[in-house]
This record gives sequence, C-alpha cells and structure tokens, in this order.
Amino acid sequence: MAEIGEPTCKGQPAQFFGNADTDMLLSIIVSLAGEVAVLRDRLDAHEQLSASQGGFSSADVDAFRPDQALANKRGETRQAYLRRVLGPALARAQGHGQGNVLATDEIVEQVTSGVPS
Amino acid sequence: MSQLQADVGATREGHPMMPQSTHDEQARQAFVLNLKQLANGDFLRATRELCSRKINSGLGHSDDHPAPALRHEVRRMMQVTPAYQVWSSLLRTSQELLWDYVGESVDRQAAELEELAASAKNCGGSLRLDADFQLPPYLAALDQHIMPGGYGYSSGDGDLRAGAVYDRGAALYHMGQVNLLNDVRGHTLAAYLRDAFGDLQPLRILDMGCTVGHSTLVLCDYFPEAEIHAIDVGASVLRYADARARHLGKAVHFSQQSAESTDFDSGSFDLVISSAMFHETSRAAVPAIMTECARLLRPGGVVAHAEVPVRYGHMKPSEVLIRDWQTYNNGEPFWGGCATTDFDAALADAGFEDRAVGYQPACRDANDPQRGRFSEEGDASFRYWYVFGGRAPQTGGK
Repeated sequence: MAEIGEPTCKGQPAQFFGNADTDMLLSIIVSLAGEVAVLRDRLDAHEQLSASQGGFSSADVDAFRPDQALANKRGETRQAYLRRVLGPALARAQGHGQGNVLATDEIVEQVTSGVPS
Repeated sequence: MSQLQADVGATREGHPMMPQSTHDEQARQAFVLNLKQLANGDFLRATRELCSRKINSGLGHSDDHPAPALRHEVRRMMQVTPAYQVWSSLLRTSQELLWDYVGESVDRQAAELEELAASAKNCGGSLRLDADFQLPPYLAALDQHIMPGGYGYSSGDGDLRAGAVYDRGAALYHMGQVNLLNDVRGHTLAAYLRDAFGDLQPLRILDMGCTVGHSTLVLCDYFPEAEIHAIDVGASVLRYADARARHLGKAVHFSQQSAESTDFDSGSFDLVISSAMFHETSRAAVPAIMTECARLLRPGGVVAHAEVPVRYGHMKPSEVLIRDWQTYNNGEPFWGGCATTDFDAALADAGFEDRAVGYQPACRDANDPQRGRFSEEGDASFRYWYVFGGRAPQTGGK
C-alpha cells in the first residue's frame, strides 16, 4: 500500500470479520485479483497491438499448442509456482514451526543476555 | 458503457490538469470500478435483503416503514452476518485500492502537473493561502473518504497531490455516473436556483467547500457577470483548483478559509452556495455555517446548498443500514448526522425566509426545458440531490 513519504490514512484499520486476519487476507486477495486483472489487460494489449501491426493475433494465441518439451517445462514452472503460493498452508499442514523449536523471543533473549550458551 | 469508461478510453482525458493514466493505471482504475460495481451490486443486494428479512422477523418492525431510531440496533444485528462482513470488506478494499492506485499515478506525474499548473495563464482569478490555517477539528479527526491525508493534506509549496488525487478519485468513486468535469452537482444547483428563486442576477457569489472547483466553475458559465469566490480548507486542493480553473479559462478567487468563519465583509454577497459540504462538517458546525451565510449575504440575498440525497427519516431501515456504512467505514463521521439534520430548521434559526427544502433532479444543463423540477418529494438515489436554501431578510440578517 502506501510507501514511505506518501500520506497514510488516519484512524483505525477497518475490521468487519470476527478475526482481523480474515480482513487482512481478503484485502490481500482482492488486491492480488486486481493485479491479475491488470496483467490480463496488458497481455490483451500485446495481442491487439501485434495483430494491428501485422504480427500474431489473439486467434493465433488461442490456437497455439505447446509441444511436449514446452508442456513439461510449463508443468515444472506451475508446480513451483503453486508450491510458493501455497507454501505457508503446506508448512502449517506439515507442522513446521511447532514441536521442539524455541520461541523467537526466547532466542532473542538468549543471544542478547550476555550469558555464554 | 459508462461515461467514465468512455473517458478512460480517450487520448487526453477530462481537462488539462486532470492526471493522465498509463495503460496499467487505466486497467487498475477499471478494476476498481468493476470491484465497486460488484460490491455495490450483488453483495449489497444480498446484505440488504438479509437485513430486511431480519428486521421483519427479529426486530418486530416492518422494513417497509422508516424507523431512524432503529439505525444502531440494525447495524449491530447485521455486523455479525457474513453478508455484511463480505460486502463491507470488498467495499472498503475497493476504496483503499482506489486511493492507492490514483495516488501512485499522481505521484508518477507530480512534476509534470506542477509544470502544467505553472504554465496556466491568469484569467483574472486569484489564490490566497493561509500558512497558519488550522483545520476544523471535524476535518482533522479522520481522512475524508479514507483518502490518505484528507482534504487538508499539503506537503508544501506547489504541492498539488490532494487536489489531483481527489479530482481523479472522485470521478472513479461515483462509478462512472459523472463525467471527468464532475459538474452535475453544479448544474443541478443552478437548476434549483432557477426553480426555487427565479431569475437571479447575482453579482458576487461565494462557493463554500469548493475542493477543486467542480461546481464553482459551472457557476461561472451560468453567471458570467458575477465575481466568484470559493473557499476550502486545503492548500493542495486549492492550488490544484486554481490551476484547473485557469486552464479552463475561468476567473475564480480561491482562498483557504473555514465556512464557519470567513474574512469577507458582512452583506458582501448576493449568493452563497455549497455542494456536498455539510456531511463533511459536524452537528455544531451546521448552525455556525448557516449563521456565517446569513452574515455574508446582503438583504434579500440567496443561500443554496446541495447535499447527498440520503435522508434517514424517509428511508427503509435496511436502506439506512446500507447508506450508514459511510459513517463508520469511509472517514465520513458526520454522514449519518447530516442525514438526520433538519436543514429547514437550521435555515430558519439563522433567519432565512422563503425557504425551499427538497429534492432537485440531477441534470447536466439547467437551461434544458426537459429537465426535472424541484420537488419536496424524492429519494436517496443519486438521480436527485437534496437541496435547501432561502433568502436573507430584506431588513438584514438576524
């Protein structure tokens, strides 16, 4: 949202759901949806410009079929992409950050206490 | 296709000072427009229908009858429902994104806008800023429409940000119902003056709460003989307003002042107007502003205000819930207060006579014989503006 130097909005952040995290998450998802919409528009601009200048058209893109090598490469890219997007959910499902790990506060306390560990 | 969408597609949009948009900036603004339409379409309807059912079944009241006293109870009842929560979240996010997108676009072209402002030739108007000006507390408390910085924002000499962001953002906010000159309120106010006060020939006019001069410049065309003054609280919006007026060839004297207390001479105006100002003020400011209007007008002079057409006393409780969202979630703390203010009484208390309070159908040309006429009947749709005004007594103010 606002960067350093830009004015920020006075007042409490809005909370409509029972949990502020839900408000934050939906707001993030809608902002992301906006960026996806902008990207689609931009891709369309590329196709329209190309077609109007004698290059490929939207129909060429629709008819395009990747060969096996490209299909495999896309598959790998998609897997990595999904792992990245869903990474936090997967980490939670796999129980990372739980069990035998020290709370960050405890680690901070340990390394700043001056007591040799 | 809406007017805005048509304008967004044009090569040079609106007017010479209007911030322009790159492809992606246009795409972002179009996305906000779609998001707002969806939020205020299906999501809003689902919320209103659920609200109506819950009022009829749970509150022992028919939603067909106005009940302003139920306003807060209805809101508390609805705040825990998924319908209200999702609608609210989408609408709030659309509003946050709107300012974020427009702000980023304006910041990109800040230097260009400042050059444009400097190059506009003087048309006989002026700009008077007050470095010591203090925002009224009701404007300092929150940022109006959650526009970061609010109306009063200014980062220093030459800064046009608040004006430019407001101008571009307001056109988006109205979801394509206004053109990029945003002049419907001005034309509608001129139509109200015709309908309620006959053929006025004002020679000196004051526009209170002018922001970037959307309505002010319209008055220049209807009253070409008049000397026109306009006040607002923000240095940045006024700098932008002044540059915008000069580029559009209009002579307006802008100054940074509060409508509650101006430095103009008593009895020095024939006409005082405002458009959509009162809902940005406070319960205490309303009588103070009315009294200031009475002081400024010559005997027999006319005051005419236009406000949003939202009057809780005439609305279904479920509709009040929808409109009252602004009060709590959009930096408009006096929205609900304004919707329940008796403006006829406020005018009367300030000594105004021949009062005309009601609804003016929105129009784009007060001279159009086909346009709608002033009536005491209307509704909360933006097909109308709520208008209220009167004449200062011939014997002088109260």
